[in-house]
Amino acid sequence: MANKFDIQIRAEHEYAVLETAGYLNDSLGERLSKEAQELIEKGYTQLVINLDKTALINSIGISILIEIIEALDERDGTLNFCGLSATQERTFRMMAIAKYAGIFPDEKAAIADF
Amino acid sequence: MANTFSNDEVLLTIPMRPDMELAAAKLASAIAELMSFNDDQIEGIQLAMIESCINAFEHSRSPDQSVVIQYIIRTNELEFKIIDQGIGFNFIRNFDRR
Amino acid sequence: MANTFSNDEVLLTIPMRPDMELAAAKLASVIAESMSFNDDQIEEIQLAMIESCINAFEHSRSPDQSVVIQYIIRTNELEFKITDQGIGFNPTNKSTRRTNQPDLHPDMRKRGWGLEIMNTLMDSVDIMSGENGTTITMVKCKTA
Repeated sequence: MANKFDIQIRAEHEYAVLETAGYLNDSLGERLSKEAQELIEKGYTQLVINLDKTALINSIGISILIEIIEALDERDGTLNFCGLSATQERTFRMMAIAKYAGIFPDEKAAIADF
Repeated sequence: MANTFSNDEVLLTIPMRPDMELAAAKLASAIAELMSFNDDQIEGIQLAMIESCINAFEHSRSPDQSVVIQYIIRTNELEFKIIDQGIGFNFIRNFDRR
Repeated sequence: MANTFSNDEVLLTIPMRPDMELAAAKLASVIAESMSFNDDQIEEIQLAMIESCINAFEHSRSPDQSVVIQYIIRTNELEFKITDQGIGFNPTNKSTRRTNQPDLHPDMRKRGWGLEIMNTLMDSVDIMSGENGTTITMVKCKTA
């Protein structure tokens, strides 16, 4: 079934931002993972994932986010998240994601951290 | 119920109480969105669902005070069956009256 | 069914197909909203509902491929009973969706978070499971 979801990519010299829109489940997660892998292969090691337009997320989607964190870890890279709701942030902290990735209120702050 | 349940069907039972028509409409909206109906269509579906539920709430005098709604998903359409166990109404006469 | 139906209960049956968990979550959201739960609580309810549904979708191996959800409305709380007629809950049932790659950091494992998410977001979570299926009962209170 189709869904209103989308991924926007803004690649700069030093970093790239991936912005999702819609329910982050396995299918949007797989698409996000593919885009992130392509950026990593091009040499990007500083990525931002902006979840501002993703209201709902499930544990399968989060597991794919963890795979992206791991892929960047292996290249000494960094993943910063922004645009999380309070509940999403609480869930990410519970899952130890906050230990291995940055969590920032907005995209500007997430980029400034690099 | 379990054995006859279809993979293409969502089944909802709501009590006849205020705002429950919104629950039926919101569920319709969620299913229509998954099927990629556009925003105008989704709004139309919601309004029609609200009216059909309110009709049952107000006029059916159903002893069990519930409405059952089947949402039947097909490739290019969504069908809704709104069922109450009330006294029935003469819909031809009612349409004439308006 | 009709004769035992309660005025305080909404009953939903969904097929186990992709994104149907969203239908269950959005129904929960509108019921919670009509009960004046706040926005954070409504989001918590939706995420917990999504996890309980995909848990059933992925692990239950239910022959009828459906999940029944009762939404029970009380004065200050909303209770959800998510029932499948599958083989019963066993946390070691492997996910069918993705191959499990080894975790780089043991404290940030990739799968098996569903129940912990439900426990974190709801006020109580109980599981009754046997060879005839599983019912997860979750309660969210208005005053946390």
